[in-house]
Amino acid sequence: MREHPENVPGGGTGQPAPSARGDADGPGTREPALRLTPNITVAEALAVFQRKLPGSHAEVREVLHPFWWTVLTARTRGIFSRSRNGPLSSGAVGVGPVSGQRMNVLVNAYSGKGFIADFEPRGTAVGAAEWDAALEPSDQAGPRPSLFEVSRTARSLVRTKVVKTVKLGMGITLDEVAPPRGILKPNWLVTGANEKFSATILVDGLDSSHYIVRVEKLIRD
Amino acid sequence: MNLETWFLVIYFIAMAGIGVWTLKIGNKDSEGYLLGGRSLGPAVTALRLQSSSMSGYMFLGAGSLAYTKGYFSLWYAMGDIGGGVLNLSILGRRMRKLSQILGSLTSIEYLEHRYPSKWIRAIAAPVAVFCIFFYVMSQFIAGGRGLEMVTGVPYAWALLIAVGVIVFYTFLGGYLAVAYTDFVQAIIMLIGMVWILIGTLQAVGGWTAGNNAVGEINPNLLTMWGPDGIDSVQWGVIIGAVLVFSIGYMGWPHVNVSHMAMKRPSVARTASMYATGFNLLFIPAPYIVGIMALIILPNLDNPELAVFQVADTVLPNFAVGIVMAGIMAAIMSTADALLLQSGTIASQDLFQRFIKKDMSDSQSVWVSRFTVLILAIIGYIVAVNDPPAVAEVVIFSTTVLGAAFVPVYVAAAWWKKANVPGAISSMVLGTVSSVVWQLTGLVDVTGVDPMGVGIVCSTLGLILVSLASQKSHPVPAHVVAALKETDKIGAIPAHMLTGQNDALAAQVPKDA
Repeated sequence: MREHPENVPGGGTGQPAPSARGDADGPGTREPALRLTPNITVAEALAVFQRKLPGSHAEVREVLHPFWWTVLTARTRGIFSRSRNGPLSSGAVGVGPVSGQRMNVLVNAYSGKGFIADFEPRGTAVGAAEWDAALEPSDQAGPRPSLFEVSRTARSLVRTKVVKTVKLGMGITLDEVAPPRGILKPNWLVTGANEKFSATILVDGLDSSHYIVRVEKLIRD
Repeated sequence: MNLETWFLVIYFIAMAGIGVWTLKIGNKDSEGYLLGGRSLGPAVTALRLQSSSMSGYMFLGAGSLAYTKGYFSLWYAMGDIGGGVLNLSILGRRMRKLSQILGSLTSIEYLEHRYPSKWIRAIAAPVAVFCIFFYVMSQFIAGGRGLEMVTGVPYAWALLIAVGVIVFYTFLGGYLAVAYTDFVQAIIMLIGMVWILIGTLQAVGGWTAGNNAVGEINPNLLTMWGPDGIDSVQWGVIIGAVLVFSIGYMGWPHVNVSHMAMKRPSVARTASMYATGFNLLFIPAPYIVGIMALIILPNLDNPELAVFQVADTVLPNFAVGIVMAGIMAAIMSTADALLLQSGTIASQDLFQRFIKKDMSDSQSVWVSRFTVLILAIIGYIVAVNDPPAVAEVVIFSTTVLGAAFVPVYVAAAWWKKANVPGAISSMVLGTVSSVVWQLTGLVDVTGVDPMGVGIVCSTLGLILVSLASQKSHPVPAHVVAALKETDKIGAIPAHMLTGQNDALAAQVPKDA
């Protein structure tokens, strides 16, 4: 789940991010947030940790990170043809650069960085309280992105991807299928140590990539 | 300033311009500086590989060989033509994938990650940096001589200019600068060489007429057996010429680093087609020009100047300028790759590994740049004195590189049982046997090339010692897993990657 660091919203509003119910961004008709099911098991997360720290013992804890999920469709028009792409199939899981497809974009609810997901987010609906709880505790600096900025980041990402594939002169139309919806993305926080080092590593719950949060040397060589 | 000099000035400015351009786009961290951010496509990969493999030898040595031995010289061309595609096919995809899984930034570091022991790097790095340094020095000398010949500038100043330009763009942009300038230089080399070939064939009345004229000088020159005919042929030399030139490249760290910088492992397949196309067009040309030089310039004092003298005779002045730029391109594209590789090995494989382990990316890049500068200064001081033995040392040092590293690089990607003791034995045996074979005069006694002996010894050492030490030194599980993943086609699973996903930094919980 590698995010696109270049797509940070230009400036925050300074306001807190809206709830998934939409109470800060319009009428409260927004769909409830989804809690994604991890693709990576506890054992696999532990294996990632033990590859970095051979012979270690560790504890694994699930942590959830809030994202905004938005779905966009991209259509292109040729110079002479009115519409190059036919109607969309509503159930298509389109993630490739081919125009006329749906693209799922996830935007980090803290940092505002986004990425085009290569999967259709699926999970269980969670209550507003759980979403709000996930959104609250953050030591991330700076303002959180507003829904307008989330949409802008998503459109920018999709446009960049489509532009790489279209011929000169083609028109591009982007449509947001639905307003941004809250997503709780699972990660594994693994903390442990071997004889020499103690470390905490965050393992992505969807693709098992990792980030070293902390590492300390326990003994000198 | 004559027309040829103007072409060279434009050429130097263009190369320096690429260095400045790449400064802006690609060296933000070590991976960017040392591997161009692993962003190179097939054309740049292939042409960079070929131009850095082929030094000024193709314009000086190849012509000389053909001038003295006729079509016998094409044995060397055959090895050369196959070298690029062999290297990309055997090592390309696998080395790209394995190096990313293991998180390697340099070709020596790659060896240590594949054979996990500090002794691997402690042995490989000094051997490589020593051999490469002498090789790059010879390119400095060739560059200085070339400039002197065209511009009339005294050798010391010509050398300073050549070294300065090379260092300038290597210093600025790192691997990306070297890769893109090598790419441009490969094209210049190709244009220059094909132009000379066409001009030469026109001058002799076509290939058939030229061959007829060469046949009148000595019919044996038209055969693949040399001027003295098949009775005097040395099969050991022929086999050596084909094999050594074709497989030797696989042991050169500065050439192999091209594999690690590819955008994707699959780039290797397309790149091998580009490399073959380039080789088929480029490599036979200097040999054919060298043979035809027998008709155009029958009494040449120095056969090494055959290609250049023919160009001077058959081409208009402005074309000579372009051809000279091509010769300088061949020299400089090899020199910059070597220089960067020397700096990389010294900074990453020696300084950071053994002296300052907590060096930041920024410090590492600056140490690499500083090393490049120091090596260039030492190279200049030695080259300006032009010691006569340098050329021999260069040939010898490339031989040692091949003998020491070909089996360990090939086995690293292909043989799951190759382990640390096997790799150490292979490098030590390859280095020692080729050095001893050369220094004790066994080459003259046996007629067998030291590289052949070295490769046989290092291969046997790798196989026998690895098999004998499987129980005491098994290949680590994570390396075996990486090799199994390398067997597969497709993207690398995230959990196999050694490098961390920095984007996850924004998902670290407050209470972590």
